[in-house]
Amino acid sequence: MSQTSSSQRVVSLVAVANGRVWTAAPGNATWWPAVNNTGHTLNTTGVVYSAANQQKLWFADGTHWLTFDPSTNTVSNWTAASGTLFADSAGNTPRLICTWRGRTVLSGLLLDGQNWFATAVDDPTNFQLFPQPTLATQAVEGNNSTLGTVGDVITGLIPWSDDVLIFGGDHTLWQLQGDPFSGGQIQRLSDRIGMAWGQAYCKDPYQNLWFVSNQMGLYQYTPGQPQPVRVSGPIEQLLWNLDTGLNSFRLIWDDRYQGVHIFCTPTAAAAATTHLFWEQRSNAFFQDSFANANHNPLAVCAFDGNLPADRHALLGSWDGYVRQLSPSATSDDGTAIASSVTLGPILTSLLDDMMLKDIQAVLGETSGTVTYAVYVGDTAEKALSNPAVLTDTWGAGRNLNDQVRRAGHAIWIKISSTSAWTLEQIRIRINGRGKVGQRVWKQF
Amino acid sequence: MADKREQLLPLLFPFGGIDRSKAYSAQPQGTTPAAVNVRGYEPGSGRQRGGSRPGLSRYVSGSLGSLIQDLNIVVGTGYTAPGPPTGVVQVSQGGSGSAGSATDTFQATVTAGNAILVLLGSNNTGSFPTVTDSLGNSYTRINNNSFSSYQAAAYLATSVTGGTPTITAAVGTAFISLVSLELQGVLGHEGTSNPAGSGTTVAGVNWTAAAAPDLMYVAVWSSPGSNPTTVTRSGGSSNYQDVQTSVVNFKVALRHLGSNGDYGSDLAWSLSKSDQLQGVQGGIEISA
Repeated sequence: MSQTSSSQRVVSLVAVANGRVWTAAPGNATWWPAVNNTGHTLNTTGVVYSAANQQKLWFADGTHWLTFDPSTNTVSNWTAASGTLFADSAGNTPRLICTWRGRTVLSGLLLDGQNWFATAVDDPTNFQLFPQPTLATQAVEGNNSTLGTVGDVITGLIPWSDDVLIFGGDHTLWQLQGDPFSGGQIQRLSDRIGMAWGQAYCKDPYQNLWFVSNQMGLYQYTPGQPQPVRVSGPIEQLLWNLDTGLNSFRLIWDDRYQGVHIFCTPTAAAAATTHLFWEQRSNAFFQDSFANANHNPLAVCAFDGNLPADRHALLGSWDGYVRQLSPSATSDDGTAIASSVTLGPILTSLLDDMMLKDIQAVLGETSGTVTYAVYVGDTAEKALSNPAVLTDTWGAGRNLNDQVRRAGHAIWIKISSTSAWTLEQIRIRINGRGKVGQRVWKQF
Repeated sequence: MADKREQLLPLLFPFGGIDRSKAYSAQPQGTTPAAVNVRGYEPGSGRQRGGSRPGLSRYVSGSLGSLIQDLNIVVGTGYTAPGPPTGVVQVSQGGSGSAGSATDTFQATVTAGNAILVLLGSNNTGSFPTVTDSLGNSYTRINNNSFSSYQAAAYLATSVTGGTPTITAAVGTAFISLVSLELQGVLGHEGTSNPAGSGTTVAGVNWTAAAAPDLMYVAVWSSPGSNPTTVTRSGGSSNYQDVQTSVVNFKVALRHLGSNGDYGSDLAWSLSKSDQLQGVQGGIEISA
């Protein structure tokens, strides 16, 4: 089924589970298995990567050569019409793949990790490295070309622009500028910054590249910059302890919510974790978590069907479901969303104690109920770790003015809820205690 | 009289997001040390007023049963996306044995309710092979053909138990090979048109009983050490799909009526070898 479109475009969502390829068209309620007469599936465990080229999807799973044609819903062997398929000495096949300048670019061979390969332009089945005569569009292999390999183990392939392909390395970054058979050059961008394995990157609509580094920094690389810029400064503590070997990092631009999702998911089994969302319009990071560990995604994609309901970031989950981040969903597929945010600290310029006399909130008219808690302490740090001195609830609309009358040097307000909620404004009344409320003078 | 030290202050949602880089007392204006599952731009209205993040809903209501390993989109033009496919879901790796039995295991999970078609060939014509699987599914012989000491046969199990079955075919002490196919939408066995000839050249009988979206199969067995290679078919070779060419002494080809633009309904084939051959061909009726 396809959606009506002036361009006659047919958008197919393709998923791999248990090594098998499935498709769904926009609005479909069920998955359709692709017809597969090749006699084998893709790897039945672990992450598989794919890239679309020439209206087909080409897979890289480290073992098999398969391609999917949505026009016939058929999985076929990916064979070399010319030349030889790219493999290492043990027959391992690529694990990394992208499409760049009409070429299907491959890398990630287990025993040849620094090497890369690009098929001929517009022909993912043309692996011919030595055509007669030589062509500007011919296939190319790193260690069989004048460009050579990048030296470092390649961990990611990023088709950044029509002119630049970025190689993420284990601890380096490289860019191939220009077509490899038309004057292209490989240049090192950094010998200190690498990239996490797989597809730990995305681009925003402004051509900014976002990626997770080998040492768990979040970087942004903008056209014209000499070096990537570390942008995770405000949230470094949230990244420090993450294991790049045990987790898969997937980044995706979410056009509906104008931001970048940074998904960090353990690869061994469904397990608790936290993700990040960078909100572009606010330049703000927020933490996300799913109470159901099955919801943590190892596979994501930005679906762009014709209908508003078909333009969402999609998450492939451990339990075999593909889910969307829906503005109308008030839970995570039936599981309550535990949300919270801490506001403050409320301090005075005199560094004195103060009293929070009352507080009043206006929530959205359709907001769910939230709980607010008041934390006070002798310091802002202490207040944050102290137990709440008061908790109460706010409902939708304008709430009554609550008499709080709790004093301290620093005050935080925490809002939490398991319902969907919105906040219009909060007003507080404080009363500083002046010099009386400051610490006693120290006598010298 | 109002207290001069009293202040009315707005307390704003921290639109600047999480910032843990500064002193606790110097938390940058408009930021927060902790924010989980919230957004500055509230998802429902799209206004910058603060609220909980959007929730998850199923984009496709059905589950694929296990971890989603890859998710991607393909955009094309100039075709109509095919409807739900019928026929072959997966083809097994196949198996061979020289001592009267062979096993074959599906790589992926077979969906409960689907059917399994087992095509086999053997050197024993004294008795029919028995076909069983590790899930206890029941197989019915739907087709067989023999010549001299060469035999080909087809077995079908419908409404199977879901899982990853290992299929065992056993017959005396002879050479035997099998290929198994998981089929979807099977209504039953439609009939046979086994080759009339035998020996070193056999040819299937043209058969036009089937109609889209039925599936037609051809399975050719040859003597050990002489693998059948190419099956010559009527109706255009592109309308047939060779499957499992690696199984010893055995060759299986399929024709999916209505698939890939193939709306023909004939099934005829021939194969010449320097050694003895035998085969079966028939149709599986698939629900539209």
